[in-house]
Amino acid sequence: MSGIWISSEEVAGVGMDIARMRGESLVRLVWRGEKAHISAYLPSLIDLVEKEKPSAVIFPSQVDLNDLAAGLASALNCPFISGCIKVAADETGLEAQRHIYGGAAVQVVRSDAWPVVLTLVGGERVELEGVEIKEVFPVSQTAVKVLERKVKESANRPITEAKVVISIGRGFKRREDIVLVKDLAARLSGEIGCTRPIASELHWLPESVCIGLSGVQVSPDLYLALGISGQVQHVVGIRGARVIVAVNQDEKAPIFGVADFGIVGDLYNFIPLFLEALKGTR
Amino acid sequence: MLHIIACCKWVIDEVYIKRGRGEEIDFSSVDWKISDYDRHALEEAVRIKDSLGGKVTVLTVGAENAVKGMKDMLSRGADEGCLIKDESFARLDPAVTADIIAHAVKSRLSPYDLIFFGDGSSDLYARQVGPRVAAKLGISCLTGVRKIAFKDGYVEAERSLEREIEIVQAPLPVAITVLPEINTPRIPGVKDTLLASRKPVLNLSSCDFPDYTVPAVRTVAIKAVRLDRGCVFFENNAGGISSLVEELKKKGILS
Ligand SMILES: Cc1cc2nc3c(=O)[nH]c(=O)nc-3n(C[C@H](O)[C@H](O)[C@H](O)COP(=O)(O)OP(=O)(O)OC[C@H]3O[C@@H](n4cnc5c(N)ncnc54)[C@H](O)[C@@H]3O)c2cc1C
Repeated sequence: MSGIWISSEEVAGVGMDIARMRGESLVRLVWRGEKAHISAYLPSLIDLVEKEKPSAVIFPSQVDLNDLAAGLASALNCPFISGCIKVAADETGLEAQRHIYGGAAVQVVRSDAWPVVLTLVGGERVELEGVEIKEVFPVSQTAVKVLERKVKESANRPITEAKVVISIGRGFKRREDIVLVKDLAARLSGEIGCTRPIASELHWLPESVCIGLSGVQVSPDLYLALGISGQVQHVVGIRGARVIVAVNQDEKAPIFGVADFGIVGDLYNFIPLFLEALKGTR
Repeated sequence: MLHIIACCKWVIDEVYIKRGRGEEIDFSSVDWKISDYDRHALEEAVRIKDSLGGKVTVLTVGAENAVKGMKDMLSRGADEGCLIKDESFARLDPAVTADIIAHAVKSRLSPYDLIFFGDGSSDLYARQVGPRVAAKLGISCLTGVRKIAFKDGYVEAERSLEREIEIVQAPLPVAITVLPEINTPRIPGVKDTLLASRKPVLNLSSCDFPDYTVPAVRTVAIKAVRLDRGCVFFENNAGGISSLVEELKKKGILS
């Protein structure tokens, strides 16, 4: 058994660590062929893994790749740890951390059997040179047929790199009111983020700026939460923020339990006052 | 006549997860609920039954208190229940849960046309059970689904991927994991709750299943996450907000 296989460079960081610890080499998978439904890749991936017996196969935690990982682990009857936020290999196996209870707790799990399948949340991207490559080809026939693909609307700049994030929740009453936040974002050179309902239910902002467990994790210098209740699934995505400011009219809103500074009040009153107060600043 | 199975997990409501001493979790005052996304899975199953005809079986795997969960599930429009309950099923690895569900479906609930799951559970959010059950049953699995339609005996589904919406078509039987935007779950009324206790339930326990190999993944610790930053409050008026701005300057965020 040998080789640590990674499905892309997005997870190369952890792949390299495990490979180093086990004295094995890193192998990068290359996905060939026309894009079909993800199930098209499973048969050849299983064949390849059964033949070459890697110690680990690592994917980024994405919808399609999670399917592939689950299908692979099921076929191999091997451990699969999904949604890892941290992984460390040691002499006998590996230990991984993952969020549970919506992010209120961290579960530490161990696997002492190889091979193991992993998916990683926010893995560390490393550009690789001269690494061995294995090609995976799709089968031509699958039960699931793709009829259409539409590119999702996404933010122009990645919110993950923003220094200031102004984030909106269901405390906003109308879609038009987002203009108010745009002024604020422009003034603070920040990006606009949101909670899941704003993106996935109301479609007021693209899903690429939904922050939290099922969205992205951000770590700006300033996170300004406007009309956000602060359910744990959201706040798990802002833990890395340096300063969190929350505005909510409900003094019992959980967001205050995770904020550095809080204002109990109406966000519609807050925004103009805040803009005014910013006038003397750079 | 469609036979639709909806799989629901009875979980600790994460709102009650409190940090005890050190990194420990204080489980003393927790309440339980149907896992959020699973409520949407059950709702979708019931809506399809209502429009196309058929039967909905709601299935859950859990420990003793899953009995209460089953009642709640049956009050949300399912016709029958399948309650797989055992003390040893309290904290199962998703791989074992999937083996149990697949075995129950194959041996007790066949034939079936659709199996619904939430895209991830509110407690573990491992997103494994749906695709693993499908793999065990040898059927297709559509994950991340936010819309479903039926055409000429096929399911047409909208899958929400990271950067794309993928519209796919799959033959029955098929496993589907749903996102919460697919529907708004009903809130059961008093009558629904009363009716629920009269619905038939198939009770299964560990002796109805083969011994599954002990999962190689072990939980070694569960640690509460520290979130509290000791919030300092300001008034929502010009004075309060200029003090806030001063604080942000002190932190080097504004200058
Ligand atoms: C498995 C799972 C994964 C999830 N993943 C995510 C995720 O990644 N990201 C995410 O965000 N959510 C996620 N959620 C959903 C999450 O649990 C919450 O439902 C969501 O974050 C709530 O969004 P919200 O704060 O905008 O809305 P609400 O909870 O409705 O809060 C609105 C807040 O606005 C306040 N408000 C109303 N009017 C005003 C006003 N005029 N001025 C000031 N305040 C006002 C209210 O007091 C309230 O606190 C997930 C849920 C589950 C079960």
